[in-house]
Amino acid sequence: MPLPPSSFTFLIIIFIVTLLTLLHHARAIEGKRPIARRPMRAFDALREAIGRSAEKGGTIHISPGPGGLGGMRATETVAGLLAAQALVGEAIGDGAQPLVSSGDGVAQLALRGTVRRTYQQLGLGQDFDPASVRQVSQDDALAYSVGVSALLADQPVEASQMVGAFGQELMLATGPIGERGAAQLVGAASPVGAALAMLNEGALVGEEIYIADAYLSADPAPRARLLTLDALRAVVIGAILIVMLAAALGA
Amino acid sequence: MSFLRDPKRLLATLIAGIAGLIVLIDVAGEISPISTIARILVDWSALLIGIALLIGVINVLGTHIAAIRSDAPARFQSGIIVATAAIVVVSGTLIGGNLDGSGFTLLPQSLAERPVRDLFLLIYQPLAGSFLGLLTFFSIGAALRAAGSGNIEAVAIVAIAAVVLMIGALPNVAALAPLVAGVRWFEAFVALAGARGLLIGAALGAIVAGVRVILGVDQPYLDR
Repeated sequence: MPLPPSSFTFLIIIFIVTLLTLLHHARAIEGKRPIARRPMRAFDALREAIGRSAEKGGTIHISPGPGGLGGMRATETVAGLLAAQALVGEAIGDGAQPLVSSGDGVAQLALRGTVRRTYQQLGLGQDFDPASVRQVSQDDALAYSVGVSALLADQPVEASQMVGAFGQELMLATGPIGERGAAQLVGAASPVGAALAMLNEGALVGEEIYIADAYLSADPAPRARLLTLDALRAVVIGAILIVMLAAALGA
Repeated sequence: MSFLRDPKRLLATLIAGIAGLIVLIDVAGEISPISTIARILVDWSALLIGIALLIGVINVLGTHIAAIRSDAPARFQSGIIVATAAIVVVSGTLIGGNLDGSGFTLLPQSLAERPVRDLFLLIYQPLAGSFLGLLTFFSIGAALRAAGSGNIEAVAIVAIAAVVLMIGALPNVAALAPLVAGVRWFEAFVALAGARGLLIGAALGAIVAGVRVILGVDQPYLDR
């Protein structure tokens, strides 16, 4: 049975992205040509706060957002989960205590394992506190944001990272940290969530949430995503310009 | 350690990759055996998510029961949470009184039935509406903080959005034709162009993230 043109185009796009992903991943792993990262101010305040937390043994709140791993916005939760896993490694390695909250059962199990394993790899297995990884809700963004707001209101948190499938309810979750003046990295891909995220000093908007772990982790593998996204962005910009020119000439 | 040298991780990555690929092909077009397998995989994933949710519920209840037993200041709230969870679970699966006084519903077939439906309509939805109303104040507070910290981009966005919104909400604004036309032009070109740019970027990010998970390059499901 022949595929419809839209499905064929979709498979071609996936094929091209797969090729680019493999090429860029191989380059990142090989490590012969370092992959440069554009400076992003969004991470500065968080890094400084992690440094301060390390000195005091303070707590860093880390969240992959309120979304689940099923449904239309699963990739935003995947991005939040990767960013959370990257920061967990850095925070524990620097001596800070992570407080992890999630809005999905699978994300909670993955993060619980990440925190436990990171402590074990550093020889600090006895320091792992299961209560430091909490599932606040299940695939309900509003319930998650209200729950996190209550959680953070009670906790002396030095900094917070919330990157994931946030929408208009984002401000409820970020409110307590913002009022305290603590450092905050907030990321959302939806138009409303992204606009509200920009009210915070550290904001990741749109596709920036998909590259957060490349900035948070020393691991070279996530940096390959930067190259792939840059290449695709160049293709899309080129296509838009060509269509614009064609339309203008046709008119 | 590379997942290639760890059989457990390799197996998990292979399962995730092959399952993802089958569902992806099914999305592109319906091919008889692949579509059947994709549907089975999606059903299994729903079952696994249900199990993960059960573990999450046990985790949440454990935290709150421990808080109730302790001298924590929030033990009263924890008690309310545990009691509410018990009411919702029992009334959604076993038996619950209908809130309009029309007796009891025994063994409801789904959560869309009474009395859980009534609980959500009468308690959860009004609460959710109230919290969404609070967002206005949180947003204004955040905008003021952004202004105080010299975040020019944020202040500009909030100020322009506020002006456009307020002009749209003015009484008898329809009489001011140039103003209405200006606001409509702003919404149709500037706001829409920004939203589309954001969505195109997010879609690119989503495609790359999805492909990397299927290839096993990113493994967010593993406890690395």
